[in-house]
Amino acid sequence: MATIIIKVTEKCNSNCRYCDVVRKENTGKTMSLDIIRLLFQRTNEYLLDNPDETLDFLWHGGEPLLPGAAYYKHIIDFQKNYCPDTGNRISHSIQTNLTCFTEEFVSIFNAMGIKSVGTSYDPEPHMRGPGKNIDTLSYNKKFIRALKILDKYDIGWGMIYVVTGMSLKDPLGVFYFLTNFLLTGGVNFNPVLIYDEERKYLSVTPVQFVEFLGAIFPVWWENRNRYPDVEPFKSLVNNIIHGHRSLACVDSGSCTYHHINISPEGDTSQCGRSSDWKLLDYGNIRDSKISEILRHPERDQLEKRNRILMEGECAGCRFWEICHGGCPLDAWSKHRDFNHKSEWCYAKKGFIEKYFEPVTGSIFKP
Amino acid sequence: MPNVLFTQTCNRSCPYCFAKKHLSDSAPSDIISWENLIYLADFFTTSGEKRFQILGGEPTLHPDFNDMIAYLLERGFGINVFTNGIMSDDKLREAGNIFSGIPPDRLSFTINLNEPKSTPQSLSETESIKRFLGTFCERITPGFNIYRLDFDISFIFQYINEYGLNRTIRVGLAHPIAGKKNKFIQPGDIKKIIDRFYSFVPVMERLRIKPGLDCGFPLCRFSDEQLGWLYRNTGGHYDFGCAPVIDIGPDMSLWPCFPLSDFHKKSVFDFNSIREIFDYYEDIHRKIRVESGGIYEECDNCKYREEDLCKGGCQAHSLNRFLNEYPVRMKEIYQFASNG
Amino acid sequence: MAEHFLVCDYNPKILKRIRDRSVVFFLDSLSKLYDLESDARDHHIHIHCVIYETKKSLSDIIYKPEWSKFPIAIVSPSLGRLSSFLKMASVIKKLNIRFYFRTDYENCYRDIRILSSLGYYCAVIINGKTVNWEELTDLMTYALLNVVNHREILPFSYVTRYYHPQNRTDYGAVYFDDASRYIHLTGEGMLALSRKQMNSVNGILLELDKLDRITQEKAYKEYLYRWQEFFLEPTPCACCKGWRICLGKYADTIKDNPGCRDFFSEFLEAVDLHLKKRENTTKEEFIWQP
Repeated sequence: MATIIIKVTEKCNSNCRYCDVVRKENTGKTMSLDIIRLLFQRTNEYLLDNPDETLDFLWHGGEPLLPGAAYYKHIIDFQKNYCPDTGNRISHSIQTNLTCFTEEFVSIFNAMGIKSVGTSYDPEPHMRGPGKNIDTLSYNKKFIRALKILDKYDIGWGMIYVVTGMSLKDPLGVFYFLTNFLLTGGVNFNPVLIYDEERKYLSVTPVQFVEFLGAIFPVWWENRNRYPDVEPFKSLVNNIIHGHRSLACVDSGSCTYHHINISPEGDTSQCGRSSDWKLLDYGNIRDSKISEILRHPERDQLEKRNRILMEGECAGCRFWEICHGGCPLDAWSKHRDFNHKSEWCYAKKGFIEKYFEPVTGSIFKP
Repeated sequence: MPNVLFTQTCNRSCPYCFAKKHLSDSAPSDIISWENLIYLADFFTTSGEKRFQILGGEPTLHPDFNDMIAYLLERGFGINVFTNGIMSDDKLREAGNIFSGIPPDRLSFTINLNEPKSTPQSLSETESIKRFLGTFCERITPGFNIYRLDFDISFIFQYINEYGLNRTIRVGLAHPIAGKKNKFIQPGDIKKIIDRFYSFVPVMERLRIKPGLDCGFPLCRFSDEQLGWLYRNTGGHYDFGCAPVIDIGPDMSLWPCFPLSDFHKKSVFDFNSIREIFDYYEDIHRKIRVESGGIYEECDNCKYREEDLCKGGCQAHSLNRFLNEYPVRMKEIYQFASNG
Repeated sequence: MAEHFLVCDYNPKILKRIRDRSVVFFLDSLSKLYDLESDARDHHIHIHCVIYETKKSLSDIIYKPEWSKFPIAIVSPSLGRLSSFLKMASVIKKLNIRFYFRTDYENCYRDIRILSSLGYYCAVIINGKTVNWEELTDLMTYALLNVVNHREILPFSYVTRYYHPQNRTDYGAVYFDDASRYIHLTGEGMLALSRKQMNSVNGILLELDKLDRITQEKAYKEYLYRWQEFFLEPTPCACCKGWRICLGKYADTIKDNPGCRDFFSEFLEAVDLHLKKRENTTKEEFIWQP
């Protein structure tokens, strides 16, 4: 299965302190319905040519619900009209801040087969919210209103929590806040990625991220029946203890030929960051078929990276199988070159060696 | 079964009292709490123990004495209370009412009686004791502690007859409190004590009163005739023993018995069952026995002791010997002597 | 959703309007039980429970064998003299009765422990202002982890009964303060979501005859989601390990009487431990349950 990240819009109604999208120069573009129509035509063509394949559309932004319910009704119509025999091999997911979510979207989500939405939330005041002053309270009220609708229609939700410098003072407080809010866990801790000096206070180092996770992990491990769905803990348990290999894109070493990011103007790239940084340009959807985009020669450098790292910087590392040198974009952000391991290498290795293995008593063996 | 102290205070000050030292160290407010009592009831239950022996100080001084006894009875325990019988009128009357329907085998009292001549008490104390005897009659086993050679127990015969008390007299020897001063019977005088006690036998036989000897009597100081009388009157169940009886203080502290109350003090919370407590203190007793067979030099080679028919008298005497004569013979004792 | 229980004072005037309902009645005297019984029969009312709050000690109440027909909750300041209480044990043991004690009285922890250990059903009403959290922790530990049989103590056993590790457990129902199950009714036939709200002008929601529509009311829906208010800002309650049991019930008193955080964290641990111990056993419920 390949994943197509559709940046529906670069507009966002929230001015999240750590976010890059709203600070980009080209903020404000929304994908035209013509491009979306074309996307479904290309999709149909691709799926007809590849009868064993499926595609996952991840609706992303900016805030993907900003274009409104009518916009998504067109999307449903496009799928019906242009993918009459292949639509059953398209799955949809969405990453939204939920603040524009209304009952109107419920039938749309149902039609798209979306049973759970990805979102994010933050206990820290003035971290997420609209306007210059980042009005958290109004943001949170809208968010909670949306949750009631999700609950009413039995639509699930999960959170990405971005660990910033503000999170470090009370990791367990953050953990309890999030797991009290969403009781099964359903939270994924990701480190913030800050590339400017102005917001340096928000950034966290790999060591700080390890300590953040390390403060939470023993509590989670002891009570994992209470909050089973906390990442990256759950995945590490599956991979290290149960031996079930299931890796996120940054760790899989296999994103090369399986990811497409489409900008509002139809430009394709590997992912959001490669698109922002004008790297890995796979051409515009207007000009290229999906199969061409997925086999674009630019991608080969990512595949080569695997070999280079395995024989170089990562040679002999016992975590290779569950890391693969991490995200190439992380490597690029530091070295301006993909062929290095991620600067977040320690975040995985250090956490496993310092916390995961001692607490669980399970040693990862390749 | 362990003894549970409801309170560490007492309304008397008997010269022989082996509880004396312990009581003088305790605060007057040191009474067992309901939480601790319930804990002990649960602890006894899980240990398979069905009876409580209530001790003091004077246990009836506990403000909730009647309610606590009612509680333990309701929990299904059998109870014996060691008391001096001096109880306020109101409390006694209430106790009489509450416990009147309880069978004597479920609630009994051992009343410690002092000889009026040698251990004088006030008229009001005597009256109070008599009211107690009159209230609980057949539930009461009279007890007498011997701390003088010229003791006289005939006053107890009168009480037995007058109030219909249990026709067994529990007789105890006043033992030393190891390392401290109190009035007690010297090992060399125990034979005299036994002979004096035996002099009351004709009257006891006539009144059909049986002996109940407490711990610490050495077998060798009884004549064959005396042993025969004991056998006939106890069904052969008499034990010349000295073993940990286990006292549990109101604060849940533990010690092997009053004369040894400074040794190896622990807490109930340190153990999971009564069996564990006994195992712990029996082990210590064994270690002391290795050092000294008993209260007499000849105990070391005594065949009765070797055959476990006699324990060689009260261990508090042995400890006194260590403390006074051989202060470094045993690590635990040495530690005690150093600290003490 | 199952039909709500109504909670109201015993008032003969209102009975005909609550025909066929299950009702919790507050009584100011247990002597009125007999009238209540015949009234309830006449109006086809099912008595879920009768609540009698008194200033008397439990040992000063004269218990009657005839009360065995009623599920009774007695709220009393103290046990009183245990020996006097036990004189009536043969009658009390046959009653469908639960004794409630308020933490406003220091003796409550001790009295509950005594009664529970003797086989009487008990509940503690936790007032955040007056509760001694350490004593309550001891009582909770006793209730959930003590190895010797004793009768259940609410709300501890209620939480273990309804607890799911991945869910919230609201024990308000122990005090009939859970609008998803109990709706309160004034003497004038007006409905409110709690007894507290019943006494405030803004607390009244609807007239009694609209009871079946109450779940459609905005205030009712908001009530069910009121827990979410704690997550609008990083409140101490939202960041507390024990929140999924306490649900912020003591947010107003945490400043003056802290300790709830430790208590509910331990409570949560004890519940897990208790359930692990009891995994293969089920406990029979002998008397009425909230």
